[in-house]
Amino acid sequence: MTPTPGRVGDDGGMRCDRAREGISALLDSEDPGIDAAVLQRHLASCPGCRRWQDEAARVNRMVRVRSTGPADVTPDLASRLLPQPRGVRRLRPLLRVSLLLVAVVQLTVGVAGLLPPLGGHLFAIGGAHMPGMTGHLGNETAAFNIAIGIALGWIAARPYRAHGPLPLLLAFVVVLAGLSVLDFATGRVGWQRLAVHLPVVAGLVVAAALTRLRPATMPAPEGGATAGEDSEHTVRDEAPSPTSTSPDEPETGRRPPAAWRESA
Amino acid sequence: MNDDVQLTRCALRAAHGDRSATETFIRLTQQSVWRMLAHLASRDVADDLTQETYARAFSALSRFRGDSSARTWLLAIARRVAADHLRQRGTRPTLVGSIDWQRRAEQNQPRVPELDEGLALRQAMGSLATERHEAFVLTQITGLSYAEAAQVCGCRIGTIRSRVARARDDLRTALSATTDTDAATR
Ligand SMILES: [Zn+2]
Repeated sequence: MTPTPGRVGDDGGMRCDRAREGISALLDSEDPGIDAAVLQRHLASCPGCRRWQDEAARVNRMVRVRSTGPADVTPDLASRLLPQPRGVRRLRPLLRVSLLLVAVVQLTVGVAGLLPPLGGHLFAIGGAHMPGMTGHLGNETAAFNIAIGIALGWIAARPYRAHGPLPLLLAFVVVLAGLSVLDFATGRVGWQRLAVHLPVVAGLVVAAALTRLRPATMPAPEGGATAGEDSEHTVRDEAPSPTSTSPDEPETGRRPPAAWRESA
Repeated sequence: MNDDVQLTRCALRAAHGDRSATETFIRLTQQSVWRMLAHLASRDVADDLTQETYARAFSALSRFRGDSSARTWLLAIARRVAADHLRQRGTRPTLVGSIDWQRRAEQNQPRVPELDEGLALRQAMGSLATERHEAFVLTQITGLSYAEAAQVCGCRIGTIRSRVARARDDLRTALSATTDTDAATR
């Protein structure tokens, strides 16, 4: 280890770092940026640069061997990379707005459940007036309806995170549907009351559709693009999506990367 | 380059909604994009970053005029995706400092010379400064010419030449330090 930066050989004063740039470029069959004859003279007179040349060539061989090995096989991602048809892309904002509206209706249903029954039709559907649904049970129902409203709104705002709340919604709707059929058949509930559940069902359908149309673009701070599979991820990384799309922007990242970190 | 001309034609046709041109464009480019991202970021996020790269590329494709080659245009987007990812992750991974990899190398008994060498090289590359690392990956792994790498990075050819040389110097130093450690522990 004897780097000798700035050493001057008998070559008209070429500095070693310029010479090494030239040596490095020649290893890549690129323009060395300096006169080849001058470089040769420098090399002849500078043992440090001759050694540098040998070591750089050795590094080069190592990189070549490493980077073309069978371990570097790349996956075929074509199906994930294809852009969606234009019609599908136009559908997305529409679905998101619809979902937002459904969320607002659902929230209204939930909040209405907290209000005392005033006899008004809108407030009466909240559930608090139902026999056996007074007191805490009514509040509990209202809380659940509000929570679902928030969840729907959340999916509308962040469709790429829909995988998190979706299973819960699905389970809720399935169980609710079963119980509703049972209750309706035994005459324990009327159409009017069942209509209150429509927003949840509509929300589930729209949210599921939105998930199917999941865009390729999503934040991936720690491999989060498939974060739907583990809800831990979904909750944890709240970092905003990288939104820059123009290839002409100046870049600002200055952080040293971790090459091959996990493959070791 | 013939490939580049074909690729640029594909990109222009894809911009007009040609589905099969889009598929060809992906088929011809996805390997080098994935590979570059695996090196610039890491292998386990390369799939996602590749997806992000193409999503950005396709949404920006209507603005692609074919002034530069489609390959360097796409790789420039991939490079920005990697930079965004690293910035967003916030912290630098710990296993890149020189002390750390020396310790790792020492722990790696019994020695398999080739594995050792590969590990040392990975660690050495991981500890390169961002700009040098980028220049090195683009020219040595992706196989771009200095002129193409300069286009991808948005800098001058001379800058690439100097960064590659400095990257080589850093790697050389790091790897000879490993060899010294090897000699000392034997
Ligand atoms: Zn010299």
